[in-house]
Amino acid sequence: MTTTVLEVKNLLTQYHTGDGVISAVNEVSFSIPKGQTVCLVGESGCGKSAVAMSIMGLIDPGAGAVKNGEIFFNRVDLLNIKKHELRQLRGNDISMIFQEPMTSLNPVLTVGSQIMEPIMEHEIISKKEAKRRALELIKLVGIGRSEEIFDSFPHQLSGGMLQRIMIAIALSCSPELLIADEPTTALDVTIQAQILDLLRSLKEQREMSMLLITHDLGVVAEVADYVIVMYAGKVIEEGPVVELFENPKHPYTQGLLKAKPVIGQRQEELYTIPGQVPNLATLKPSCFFSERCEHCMSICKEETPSIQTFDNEQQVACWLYKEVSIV
Amino acid sequence: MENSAIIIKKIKKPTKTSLWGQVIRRLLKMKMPLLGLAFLLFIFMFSFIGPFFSPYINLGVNPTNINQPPSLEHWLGTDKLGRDVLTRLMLAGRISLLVGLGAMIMSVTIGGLLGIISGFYRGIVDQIFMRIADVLMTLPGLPLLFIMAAILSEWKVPTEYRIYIVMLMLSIVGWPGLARLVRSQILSLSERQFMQATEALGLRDVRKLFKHLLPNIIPLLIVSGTLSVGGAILSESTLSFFGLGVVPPDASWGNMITSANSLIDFQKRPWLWIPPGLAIFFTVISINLLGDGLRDAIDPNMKRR
Amino acid sequence: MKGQTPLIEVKNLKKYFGESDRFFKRNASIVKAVDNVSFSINRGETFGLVGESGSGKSTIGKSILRLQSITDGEVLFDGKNLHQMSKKELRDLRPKIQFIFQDPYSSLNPRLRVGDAIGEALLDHELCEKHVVEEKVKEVMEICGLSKDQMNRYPHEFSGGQRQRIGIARAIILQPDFIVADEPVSALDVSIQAQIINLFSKLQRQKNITFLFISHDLSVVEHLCSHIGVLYLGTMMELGSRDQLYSKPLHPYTKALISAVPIPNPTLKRERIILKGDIPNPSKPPSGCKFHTRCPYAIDSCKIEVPEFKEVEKGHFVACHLV
Repeated sequence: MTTTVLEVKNLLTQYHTGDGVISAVNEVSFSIPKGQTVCLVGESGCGKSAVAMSIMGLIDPGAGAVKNGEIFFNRVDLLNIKKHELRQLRGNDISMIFQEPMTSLNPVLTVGSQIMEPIMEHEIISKKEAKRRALELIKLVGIGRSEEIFDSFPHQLSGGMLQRIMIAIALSCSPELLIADEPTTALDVTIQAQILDLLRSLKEQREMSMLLITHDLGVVAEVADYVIVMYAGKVIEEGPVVELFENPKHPYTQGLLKAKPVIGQRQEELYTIPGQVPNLATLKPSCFFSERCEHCMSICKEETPSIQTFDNEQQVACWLYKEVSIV
Repeated sequence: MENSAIIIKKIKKPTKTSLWGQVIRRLLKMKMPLLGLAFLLFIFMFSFIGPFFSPYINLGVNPTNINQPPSLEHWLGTDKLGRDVLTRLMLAGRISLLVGLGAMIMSVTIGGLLGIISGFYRGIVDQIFMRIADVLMTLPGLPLLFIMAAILSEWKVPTEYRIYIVMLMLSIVGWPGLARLVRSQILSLSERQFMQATEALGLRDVRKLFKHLLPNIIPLLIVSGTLSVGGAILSESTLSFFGLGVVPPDASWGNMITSANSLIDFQKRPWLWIPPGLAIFFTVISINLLGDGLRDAIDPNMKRR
Repeated sequence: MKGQTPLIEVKNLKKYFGESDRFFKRNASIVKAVDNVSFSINRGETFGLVGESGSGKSTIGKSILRLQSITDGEVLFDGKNLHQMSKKELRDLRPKIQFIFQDPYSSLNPRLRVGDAIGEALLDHELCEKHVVEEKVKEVMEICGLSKDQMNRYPHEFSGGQRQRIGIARAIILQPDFIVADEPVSALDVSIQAQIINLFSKLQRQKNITFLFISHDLSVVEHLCSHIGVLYLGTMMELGSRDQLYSKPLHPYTKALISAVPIPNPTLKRERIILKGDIPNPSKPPSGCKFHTRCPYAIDSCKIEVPEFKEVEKGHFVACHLV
């Protein structure tokens, strides 16, 4: 029996926009077992980043808030702990890396001092010891010349290098959970391959759990153990990676997989999902994908389907399968 | 046929999501700028319509009734020549506001035009205009105005033309800043992809300038134009206070405050200088509030997609 | 009809940045963004340019349409040298050569209604009568999958995919012979990306337009392009037809690039080539073969000698000492 590191239950995160209140994360539940990589996939605006921000408690209070639900990290309720306790957890037990490594580092501080910062913040060790650890971390993320890099400034390094530094900072206190929000989207393919390889091997070495947020199904297939597909703030399908890719059940997941051009599998015409993502402010109770779905039935436009589990651990929120099970 | 005509009409009707519609809707949600706008409307009515309701509008000097404190007949008292201060305040408002607006229109026209040309064509034209602007900006504004005004006094320009010349002087001091602002905006717009797109489409310069660049700097012109009205009113007041701008018998708020120059008037007859002082103060503050509000309403960073 | 006459010929194109820097001349470093690139595109063909950041692919795209000056070389459109034309000749040619931008958000003027944005070039070039412009705008909007009653809206009311359709409509309304599309789908979500890719396929089939398609995404390029060139640090590494390049890539960089693309199939076990190190700084490119610092097969001569760009089979060129 594996232990659960993170458990999210019925999370509801709402933002205020000019159009009204939108539920960026709408009753989302999932859990991350120890040592596993869970991927949140979806298109822009589906709420995948908002999930990460909710877990980290980083939602700008002026823009929105977690309205309902529970988030447990090793049975600690993250939504109901004191600010300083949360700060203690962040960076120490939960770390996060972002899409843009160029803007996530302070341009006037050396890379080395920025790696040492969280170590010295969370642990009582000498500066010398912290530096030794920092140099070790730089080596760990696959950069040679660690002394030289330690003393350089962010603008002297390339995007791929900086993302490695960000990973080094995230790993500095040996977190149990690493949240990576589109960590390779801003990078070139050959660099992306390096970073994904690094994340994979780090996870294995350290038995770290990872929540990887991405829009790229290729990346998901490479690193995930378990996949959660989001659409318009809702989880519409989830399951172990092999099952989900081999037998996608939700029409949206099927569509996404068919719509992506794949090397070596050229077709004359790509499958397309018609239309576009709905405006979150004007959603009515319905399957939020119904307007773009080719299997849309009358019930899809009236009621929101709940998530339903199949024998192979796959879970789907779609009326197509409810009908089957009722019959 | 009729049907299609109706449909076209429906489509042609500007939607409420048009950019200016958005600006106005946003502006209507702001309290302070609306307060400023309301006061400005009031001061315009006060100055331009107000005098018609005054029984003293055609009465000039009245030596029998000088330096009266406020009373039921003269709400703000009378001055040392026996003129009704309230009526004079209204008439002065006309001149001060006209000078402010006129100077603004002139400097926006000159500054906008030169800024656009400099930013768009660059090269030698840009160099010439910008060096002139630099020179004007390095000269201290107030002494420059004083010298120009002194020369005008020397040439004995008739008083009825003085107001126009004051406008011109203020715009000479005002345009360089605006031209630089517009130029830098044009330069940054030129780097934007949609300007590259006009190049790829092979559009004429005229269309690039008037269809693409101009609409994008109009918000800037409106905001800085609005704010510059306040500055012009202040400068006019300063000039007039020193007797170099609008000169008596024409009244402006600036030359009305001149009475505070005399110690007796300052101490004993506050009705002579407090009303014009307050008029300047509130008008300029209202203009600034409105200008700031406009800027916030237009600011693309606040615009949601 | 796919003829074999080249519509576009690029010969020894060079574009260096930083040389005319008057103020910082002392430590000005020349960046050879495009270094001696040659290729040609036949009429009706879609040529793909792939490469990572700093490869110079966008610079080539803009130079070909003379949206940017060049340092040296020639760009021939239908035999005419684009970079030696007068301003007037160039303007008259503009409708025939069009550009589609990467960023659908910034390539549209926020203060211009989309109908006007699509139709304005027709008016400006006096390509048709004023009263038929609206008809034509509606027609191309329909072709590009936009509803014609959206023509009086402003760009901010459209989503990214729709804006890219507007950009495409604006280009094809002029009935161009040649379109350069610079990463037209890379800013879009997967489901929208597929829609736009299909729109491109439709235009290829119906309009006999020649395309230069610039992308960093090898799977998109494979889908749309019949011929492909692979760039690295401003130099063409390999060039060939789609089948030549994807079935038997010869250059180690092409191989690595293809194998680095993640494939959405978790059970597929591929042998992956993970390149070491970073893309070098374009202002200090490595000597010899520019790829030797990351090449797993590099030999000594790679560091010294620049490999010749040679034809190994008909239409398949590669610059590598090992081939």
